[in-house]
Amino acid sequence: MAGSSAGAFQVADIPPAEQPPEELHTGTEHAGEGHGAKPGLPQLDVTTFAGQLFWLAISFAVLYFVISRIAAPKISGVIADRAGRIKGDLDQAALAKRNSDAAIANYEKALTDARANALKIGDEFRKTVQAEADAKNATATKQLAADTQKAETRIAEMRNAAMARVGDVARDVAADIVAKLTGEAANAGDLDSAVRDALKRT
Amino acid sequence: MAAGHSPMAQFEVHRLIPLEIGGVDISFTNASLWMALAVAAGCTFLVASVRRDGIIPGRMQSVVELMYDFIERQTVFNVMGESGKKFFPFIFSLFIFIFFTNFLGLIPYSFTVTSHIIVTFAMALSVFVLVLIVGFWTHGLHFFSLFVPSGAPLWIMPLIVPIEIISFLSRPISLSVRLAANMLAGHTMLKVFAGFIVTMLGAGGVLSVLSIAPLLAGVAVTALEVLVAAIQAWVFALLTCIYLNEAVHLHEH
Repeated sequence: MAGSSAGAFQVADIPPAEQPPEELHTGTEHAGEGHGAKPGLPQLDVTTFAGQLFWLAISFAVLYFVISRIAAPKISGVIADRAGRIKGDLDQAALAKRNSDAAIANYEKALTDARANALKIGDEFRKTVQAEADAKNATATKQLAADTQKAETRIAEMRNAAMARVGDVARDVAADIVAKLTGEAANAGDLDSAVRDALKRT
Repeated sequence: MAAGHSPMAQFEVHRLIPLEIGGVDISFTNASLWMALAVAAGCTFLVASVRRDGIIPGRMQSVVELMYDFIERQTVFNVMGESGKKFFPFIFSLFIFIFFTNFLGLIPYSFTVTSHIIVTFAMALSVFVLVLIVGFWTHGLHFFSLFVPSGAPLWIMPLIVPIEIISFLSRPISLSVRLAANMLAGHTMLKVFAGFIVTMLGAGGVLSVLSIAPLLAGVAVTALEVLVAAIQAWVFALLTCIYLNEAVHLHEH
């Protein structure tokens, strides 16, 4: 659209260049030759306008064609490719991160499970050992109580037996003491009552 | 002073290949030559330096992509949105044509195509006509509402509408004069400073020593002209976008 728009303006009614044929040199070595011979701004020399517009239209049309058909698609394609590549890489990185996160989560879970399991096993073992120990302890305590009971019984028997004989011993000793002191045998009835009194006092 | 030393001599058009069709002189001139060279340089720059599989761009390709992105995304799409897509090749062509003619014109002994008002006016007028076509094509007669600013009080309309119409009609003139005058002034200034250097060196004595001043000024102006060459190409493209955007969207923006 640009080329055609620009080209539309060269149909302007610019008068054809009226240059004497001998002025149409092709060289640029002579200053002031060609269009620019007139005084004043070369920009205001209307005889150059048609040619400038003509070549502007052609060159701009070529540039527009190259840019719209070749350059712009190529450059935007490269930029899009790069953006796509970067996005793909980022997506891949995100996926890898998700995978590693999942792996870490699994690992953490396994670790937690194992720890819980270990605690449970330890707990059970401790309970079993405790139970065994308690059972043994109870048996031993019972045994001990039985032994103690037996021993106490025996001690009581022995003491009763000993106590039973204490009276006789005391009576014999008292009879001997009386016999030695008085020279005559003591009255059996007095001895018995004296021993009974003494035993009663203890 | 010989014509060749006049600051205006650089703008003279010389015939290289005389050509005439129907009594109209369409000779291939130095102006035509530098148009062709600019187009050749622009096409080479855009096409040859870009490799289709260039995921990792080279230096030249980076420059091309930077320029492409600058015009496409940051100028056309920025101003016009998605509707700018179909105008992008035209605007990019305008930019590349002006950019390369401006830059080739900075080469000594070359010719600055865009310093000629007829060339810039033709481009500006083609933009103007395109705006009219797009405007009437999209909105029909409603396109005239462009001249009636929304929200302005009614009593001010008799004043505003003629101003809007005049400003609309003067666009091709301001667009073309801005570019041509920038080129004309810059190149004339360069030539004047260069002329000073030669004259002062020729005068001898203290003046020869002082000729360093216009030399430094010339260097500074050259740097400025490099800037102006790029900026004016962009300004032309940007204003084209703004005008086309108005034609497409009227006062929506």
